[in-house]
Amino acid sequence: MNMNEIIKITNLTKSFGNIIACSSITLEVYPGEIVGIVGESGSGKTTLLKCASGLYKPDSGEVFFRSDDNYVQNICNISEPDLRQLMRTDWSFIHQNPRDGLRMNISAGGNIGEKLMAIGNRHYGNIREAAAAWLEKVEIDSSRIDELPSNFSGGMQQRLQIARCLITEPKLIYMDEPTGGLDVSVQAKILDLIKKLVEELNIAAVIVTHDLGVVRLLADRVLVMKDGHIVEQGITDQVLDDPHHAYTQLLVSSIIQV
Amino acid sequence: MIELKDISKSFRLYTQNSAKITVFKDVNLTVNRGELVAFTGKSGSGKTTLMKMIYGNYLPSKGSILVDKTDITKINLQDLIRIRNHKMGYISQFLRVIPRVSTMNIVSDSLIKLGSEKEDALAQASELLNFLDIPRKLWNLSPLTFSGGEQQRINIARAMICNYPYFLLDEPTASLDNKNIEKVITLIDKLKKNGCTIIGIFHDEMIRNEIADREIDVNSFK
Amino acid sequence: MDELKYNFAYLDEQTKKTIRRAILKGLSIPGYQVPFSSREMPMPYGWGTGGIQVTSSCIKQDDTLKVIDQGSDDTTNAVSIRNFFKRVTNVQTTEDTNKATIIQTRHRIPEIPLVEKQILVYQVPTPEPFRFLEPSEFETRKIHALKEYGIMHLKLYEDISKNGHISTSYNYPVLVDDNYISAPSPIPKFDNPKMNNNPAIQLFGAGREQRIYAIPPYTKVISLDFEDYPFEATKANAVCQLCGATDSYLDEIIIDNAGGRMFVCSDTNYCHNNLLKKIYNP
Repeated sequence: MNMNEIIKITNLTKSFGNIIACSSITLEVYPGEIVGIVGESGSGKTTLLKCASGLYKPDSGEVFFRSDDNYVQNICNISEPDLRQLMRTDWSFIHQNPRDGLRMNISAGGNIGEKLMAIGNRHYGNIREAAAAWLEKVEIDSSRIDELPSNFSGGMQQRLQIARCLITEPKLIYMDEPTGGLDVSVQAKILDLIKKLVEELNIAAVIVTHDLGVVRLLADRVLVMKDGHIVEQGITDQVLDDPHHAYTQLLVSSIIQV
Repeated sequence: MIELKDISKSFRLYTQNSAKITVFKDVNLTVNRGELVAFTGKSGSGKTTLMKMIYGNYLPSKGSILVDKTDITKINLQDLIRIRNHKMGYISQFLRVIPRVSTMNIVSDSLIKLGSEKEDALAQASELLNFLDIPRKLWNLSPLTFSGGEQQRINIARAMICNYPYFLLDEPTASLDNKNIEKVITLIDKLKKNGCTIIGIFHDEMIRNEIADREIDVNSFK
Repeated sequence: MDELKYNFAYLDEQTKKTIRRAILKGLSIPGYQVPFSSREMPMPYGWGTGGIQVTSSCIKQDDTLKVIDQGSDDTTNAVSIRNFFKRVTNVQTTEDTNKATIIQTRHRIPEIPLVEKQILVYQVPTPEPFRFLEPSEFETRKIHALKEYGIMHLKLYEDISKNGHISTSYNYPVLVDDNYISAPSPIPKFDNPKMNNNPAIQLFGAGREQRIYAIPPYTKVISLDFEDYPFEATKANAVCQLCGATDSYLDEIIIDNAGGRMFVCSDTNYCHNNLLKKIYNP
């Protein structure tokens, strides 16, 4: 199968009992672009993310992922070892709460280096050097490499999680409200960091958020979800400046101006 | 070359009793290479709406918009993003940036994004910021706390540092003093000499007289 | 007289059969932890109930049993277990490593190299090497099934980053047969190299955790390490003050209230033999 997209979701439907969380969703993501998914709580955006990353199995529809060597895999019927291998190498998942993505009883350096060891790196010096370099990259002083994450502030923990996720230079990252629990002043730094790294490493990113401000600054494209459907999509400015669907208009007009 | 063919645009406002507002009907317009066309008309007449349609921000209700013979209302989003990133600069009156990112980074990132080396981008950014009279001590600060005029110049710098063949200028000089207006006009002149196609909105008649090749009153499109 | 009421080696034949099956399965998949239905034994968990059940299932009338605890034949634990088997099997017991056919051990491998047809039975408190990194059994099984072994190196990484060297000194994780990562039970890492390519059968029993695993004779057993921080079989840098051995694992013993201390062989049988040699061939 030939495809240019890095990930391609076709006609994906997922329901929980009577509740349809995602209904016939079709979505393509190309290398190097940031796609934002917005919508209120319960609109199905997190379910979509979990289906796309293989954590949930959809009721119907397909999710195709293309690796570097143009090898295409269907995530819906991939074996667990293959899925976990993807998670270690080509993908990463950045959680809203850094505690969900970090090992809290392992030092910062160990957290960052873990993926390297998981893919077979057995040279302590190299692993440590890479971990220190990534700490600096996410603007944490590398002298803190041996501290536990619990010594860090929420914003630093989130940056640590980003370093841990990106050290193997994945091709695709999924982010679920990456700045959700953070102070606004910290949020800005994280957004800048994500944007820079995504550009530098030419990563494709799918970011789920309810914050239109985050989407405006970060995403190239945006999809608006409501009740399990994509009601509108387009270039971010397009959707936010000239919303066509009633729900998007409501969403945009509800932003509080400061 | 930018061509607008039979463009109509109306807004439907669902949050306000589904009111329908028609802004334009059957607009036809051609802007040639190296030409600077200025839109005129009183506030609310739709100058910005028309510009944003050309940038692909607003979708026309009808008609087509050709940039370099490519109909940007019909292409897929990735191609539109590519055109925006590599061909077309848009300078609005407002600066929109990630908070707490330094001025220097904002301006140089535009070039780095297009593939320039970091040192090279920083050097060009310094030159442009110098030219636009942004004090060096501000370069490492976020522009969000700067004065309106400074913000506007940084907005100009971050776009004009890239040599796009198309520029859309939405009152880039609105809050600048005369000295800085002259500098911006110098930059625009330079773009024109390089064959850049420009559509602009300038409230100041003097500026229009100085750089516009043609003026079009958008009220004629109603 | 009471002893006669027990079946040979205490356990009933059915139980011994199921345990033998578990042992055979363990031998066929070196390093794999085989679940078994551990029985209540006439002693508390932590006293070696796993090892005793394995020994009970292997022992025959003509076997010679040796029991050591931290290398010593005469500590409470070793003496109790030896007496227990004496009572319920009436087999010969010995302190001599060379004469033993089954050696049940807690926390040591004898210094005298083992030979074919000997069985070494380890008492194991925590059979799962990943337990302290991952508390969920569901997850640790997945780790083994999918060979996601990177996090064991994470533990060693943490060791080096905290102490400058791999400070794990006992229960040092090993890779068995290039396949399963296993816990060697709390033996000092000094003993780890003895597990590799050993002619004897090595059986591991964990009573409370209900797991049996095994290493067949002549199996490759590698201690995990980093390229730039290779595995080292360390011991106290001293000689045995009784027999003068320099090559055996040493215990440090406090000998008075003034803080006086001495180093002696942990393996009492080895030390004893050395002393005899000194006496007869001075």
